[in-house]
Amino acid sequence: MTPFVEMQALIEAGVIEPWDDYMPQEVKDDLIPSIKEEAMFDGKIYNWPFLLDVVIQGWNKEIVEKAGLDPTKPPANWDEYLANARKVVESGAAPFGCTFDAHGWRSLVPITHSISTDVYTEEGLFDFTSDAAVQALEIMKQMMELANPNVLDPGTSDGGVNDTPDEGAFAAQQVAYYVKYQNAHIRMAATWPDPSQLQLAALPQAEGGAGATVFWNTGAALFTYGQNKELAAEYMKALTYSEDVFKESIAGGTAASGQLPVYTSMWEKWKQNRLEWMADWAFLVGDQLPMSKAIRTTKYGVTQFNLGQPHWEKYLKGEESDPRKAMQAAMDAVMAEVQKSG
Amino acid sequence: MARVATRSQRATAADAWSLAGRLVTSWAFLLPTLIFFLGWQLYPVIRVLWLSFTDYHYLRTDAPVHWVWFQNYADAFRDPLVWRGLLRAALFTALFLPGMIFIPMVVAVLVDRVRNPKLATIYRVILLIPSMIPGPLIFVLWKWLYSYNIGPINYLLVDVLGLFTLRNAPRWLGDPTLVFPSLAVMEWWWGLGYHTMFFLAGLATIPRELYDAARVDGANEWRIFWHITFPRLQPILLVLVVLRFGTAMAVIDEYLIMGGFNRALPTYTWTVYMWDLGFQLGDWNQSYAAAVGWIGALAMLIVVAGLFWLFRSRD
Repeated sequence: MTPFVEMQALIEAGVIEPWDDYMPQEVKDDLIPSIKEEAMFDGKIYNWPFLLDVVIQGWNKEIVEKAGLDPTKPPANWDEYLANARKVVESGAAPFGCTFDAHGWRSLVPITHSISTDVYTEEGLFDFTSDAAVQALEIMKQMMELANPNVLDPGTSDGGVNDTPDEGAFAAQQVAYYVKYQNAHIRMAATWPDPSQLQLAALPQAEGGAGATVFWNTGAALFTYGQNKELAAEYMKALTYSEDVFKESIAGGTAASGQLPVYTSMWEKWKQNRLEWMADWAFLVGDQLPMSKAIRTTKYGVTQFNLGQPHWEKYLKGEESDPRKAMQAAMDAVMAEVQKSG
Repeated sequence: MARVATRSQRATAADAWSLAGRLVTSWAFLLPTLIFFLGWQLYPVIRVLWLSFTDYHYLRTDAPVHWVWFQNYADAFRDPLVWRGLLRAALFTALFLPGMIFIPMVVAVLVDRVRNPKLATIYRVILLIPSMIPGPLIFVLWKWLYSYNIGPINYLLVDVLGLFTLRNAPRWLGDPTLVFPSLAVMEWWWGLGYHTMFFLAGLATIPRELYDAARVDGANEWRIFWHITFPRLQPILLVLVVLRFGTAMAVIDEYLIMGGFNRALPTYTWTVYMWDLGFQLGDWNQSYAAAVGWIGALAMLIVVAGLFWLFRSRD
């Protein structure tokens, strides 16, 4: 279960119950605070976090090097990111400089969070009209000029959510820089002749911004009518603290999924005693976690972005020249649906 | 007399037992179909009809359900997404239906002319291969064929023929003007063999003497097709047009898998809207989704009635 996607619906349907009575106190205290906040609803923990996805940046070392850029140095901010991407195109190192996934929660929100995380309404909806969101849309517009032309097209599986055009472009080595959750970079690079050309780092920051990103956990829900709940909690504790699981996830080569641990103690232990298999990118991303934020859990967690997308895309496509107007239209569309559907 | 009456009584009792036996046997055979019809077909239809007159929201578990009469229908008639969704589905149907009917008809006529039995069987088997492939595999295959970045069609157009560049190559599934034709071609390929078999069955019922007589009278192949073959295939045509009209208007799998929930996309039709309303948006307003579904179903029934009239027997 991913909290912002389906947690509230499952709670309201009465099919899941909180973990609070089964999750040991030391585990609750050990969760990274921002991740614990994501796992909770109405003051109770409904999601036992496990598979942590964080929106980060990745790049193709070979292409970046060919463009005359330092392949070991990640762009620190969006200006640098765009300048590097432009240099890739201009040098002819690759047809496209950068790409992103057009789904709002995978591009608009993380870029917004890099500027500010204070972008949610009282009801928990994403505030499309906030200054940070508008600024993020402007950054996306600049990225789009350097991206594969099909970047806004829907994906071709799972309701258009997966097999998205950015993945195809990155897998085909047609693009240098790529913003998405780490699993996408790793999966696509696994198709390259040399997957070790993949470099990952934390999301670029905005000058004077929050320096955050977006993450989400696919965790375990506790079924109300399930059995052996104490055993389930024991199993989840063993699983989520298992170093072997994360070794395979981070350093498993082409089989790696890239998911990271959710406990403060694990990160502290790894920083003090760095294990030989631990990758640099994991620490870079881990350092960004405490200040980062998940998308708020509401009944419109994902659908607010489906509703808003046709409107903010007008700015990206050049059909609307004012980003603020486009974002206002997106917000209006969400609010109209909230009023209609409850 | 007494003996006759007794014999008659015995006969009546035997008849009654026999009748009862026949009744029990008949109902025993009927029961599975009846349960299937009532439980799987009639009940959902009535349930959805009932829902459409209420304010039922799936996630409002504690809230009482109210009877709202035609409120959902009134709202749906004012909802531009319902009309836009129906129009989009009709557009796809208009593109899909002619190819889905006439291509198999032509192929069937050609295959029917193959006189070598082994070759005729091989053609039939090859034609049937796509219809044996499950839907998910068809989608995986075609989304790869259509892929902008790694698909073989664009590879041919960009890298081999040089007709396009990576900046202006066709976005088969992403370009709003191309997505419906692309999906229609996929469906034609998928259904070609299956529909060809329908027409081959129809062609087998046409007496060969009619063709021989026409040829003796000097009719060319074109006239033979229009005056002998085509009129006699009309019953098959009606069945296929009605069946495929229904499936084309109600397509949802392809749109859900490949299109997503961006309301600006052509693939966001009334069926996707219905699904979005009933299983995704807000409190899952299934009563409104049911009304949208009934409006779509009624619109389709009206067209089907028109098709029956168009293809009515003129004998």
